[in-house]
Amino acid sequence: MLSNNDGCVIARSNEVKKLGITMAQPYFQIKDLVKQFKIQVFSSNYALYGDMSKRIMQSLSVLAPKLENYSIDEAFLDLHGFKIDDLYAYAHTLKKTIKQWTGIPTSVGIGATKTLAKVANAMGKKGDGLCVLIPEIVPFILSQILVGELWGIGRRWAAQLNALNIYNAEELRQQNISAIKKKFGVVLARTVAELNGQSCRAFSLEVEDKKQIISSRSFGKSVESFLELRQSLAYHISRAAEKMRAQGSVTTAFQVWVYGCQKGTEGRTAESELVKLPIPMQHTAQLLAYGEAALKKIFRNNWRYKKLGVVFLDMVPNFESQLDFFDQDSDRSSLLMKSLDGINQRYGKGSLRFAAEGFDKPWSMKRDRSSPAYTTQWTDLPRAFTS
Amino acid sequence: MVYHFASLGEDHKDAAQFKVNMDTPLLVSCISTGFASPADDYIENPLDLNRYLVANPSATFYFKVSGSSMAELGILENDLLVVDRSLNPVTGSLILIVINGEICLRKLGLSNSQPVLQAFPKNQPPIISAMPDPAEIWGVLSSIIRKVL
Repeated sequence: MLSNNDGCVIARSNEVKKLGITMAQPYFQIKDLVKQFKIQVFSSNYALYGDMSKRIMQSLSVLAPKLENYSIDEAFLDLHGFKIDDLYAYAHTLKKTIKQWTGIPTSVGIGATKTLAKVANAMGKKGDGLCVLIPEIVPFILSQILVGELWGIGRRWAAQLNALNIYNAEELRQQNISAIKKKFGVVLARTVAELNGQSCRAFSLEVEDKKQIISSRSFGKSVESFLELRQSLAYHISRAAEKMRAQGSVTTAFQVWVYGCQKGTEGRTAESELVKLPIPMQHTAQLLAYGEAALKKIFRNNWRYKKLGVVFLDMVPNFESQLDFFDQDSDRSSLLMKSLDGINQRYGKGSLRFAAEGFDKPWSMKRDRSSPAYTTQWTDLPRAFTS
Repeated sequence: MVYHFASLGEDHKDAAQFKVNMDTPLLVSCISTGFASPADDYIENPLDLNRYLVANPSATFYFKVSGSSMAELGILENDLLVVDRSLNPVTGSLILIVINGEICLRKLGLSNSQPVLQAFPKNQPPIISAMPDPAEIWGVLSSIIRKVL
């Protein structure tokens, strides 16, 4: 599976791993192997992945009392009140049901804390995909794991811990929590507590409002004209504004940036422009006008652009924003945006959009090898043969 | 427009859902205009085809039919199939099954009190074969949908 714009490898089957193809390897480097071994290559198909993820999360929420949707392919379940003896059978039921309902294989790891559950999951993946980390076996299992493999411990911390002769997770578990807190801060101290079975990472059932929203993408091919660059800007402002309205926020400032280089040269130079808005805004058309003005300031002729993005900053909940006394149209414009988002929710993303986004979108993402949106588009449904 | 739900009564089981389904126009009266509707005490949810056809949304997938050899069973080319993977197949079930990498529509039958798989090739009598490994069954057909316009 390739990343956006078919650039790098981002997911591999076991067979492909055995051929030595690594994560994040550029696609052009493996083209010969692809031919030789008839490897199936796909562009990212986020419509399909998002829908399958949603199905799994929905199935889990039917089967489990409390669910935290942690990422597109990970969830935490709160199993308070279960008897330890019942956990393995429960994990088995979860795995079997998800496989039957959605066709997706999963692995289930159960532990006293989130950090231990992650450890259990990693252990499960090495076997049949199921692992219950009962307290008695925790020290032995942790002694088999390097500190760098633990949830939330990066390369830098791993190196610092190694310098203190702390190599495996069991050695880390036995550390004095307050000493770790002094040396490394509260985050690593929490990890140590979690390894000891003390839950420190609370269950977050509700998604917090984002304070920033970013929309950006590399171009499928480089862009030179202001018109095309402006279309891409309109696309990203529209997407970010839609996401912002979905969480009920308005923005008071945003930034536009581009990456590019002078024609005939190589390299990437970033240019950016910060836009401070006179009043908090959520109307796409207003944001587009400010965005275009900002883009004019940073656009240069005789340049080739590779990427453009916007980030909405200083977002506040809609009801907190101070209404501008002179902004008589604010009610009507928020109704208009509500209709726009409603229509796009009902008829699919981008069904109704500002013409500023353009129609051909020659700059848009390269996805030459995309699989169909089997589960989200009537036109892409799979076929069942009668004979 | 002001919607009011007071008349639903506390024992209305679907009250919560009623509020969620606001995108569908509902028969409710406006408080501010004249008399209350005499229908207010009898409001029911509009009929929802999703609820009628889809028992388990997470496990439900849609397919289009290729081939007309199952017309006698009421399945035509390009019909929309609703397939529920959470159902367990029984004798008489129409199922989807992977054969040579293609997803095919078959029927589970009974022959000499043994479960068998029935295929329906074009212009030929049905072909009976041994019951496959249940693991190869992709899902169970729960509805057939066909637009006539």
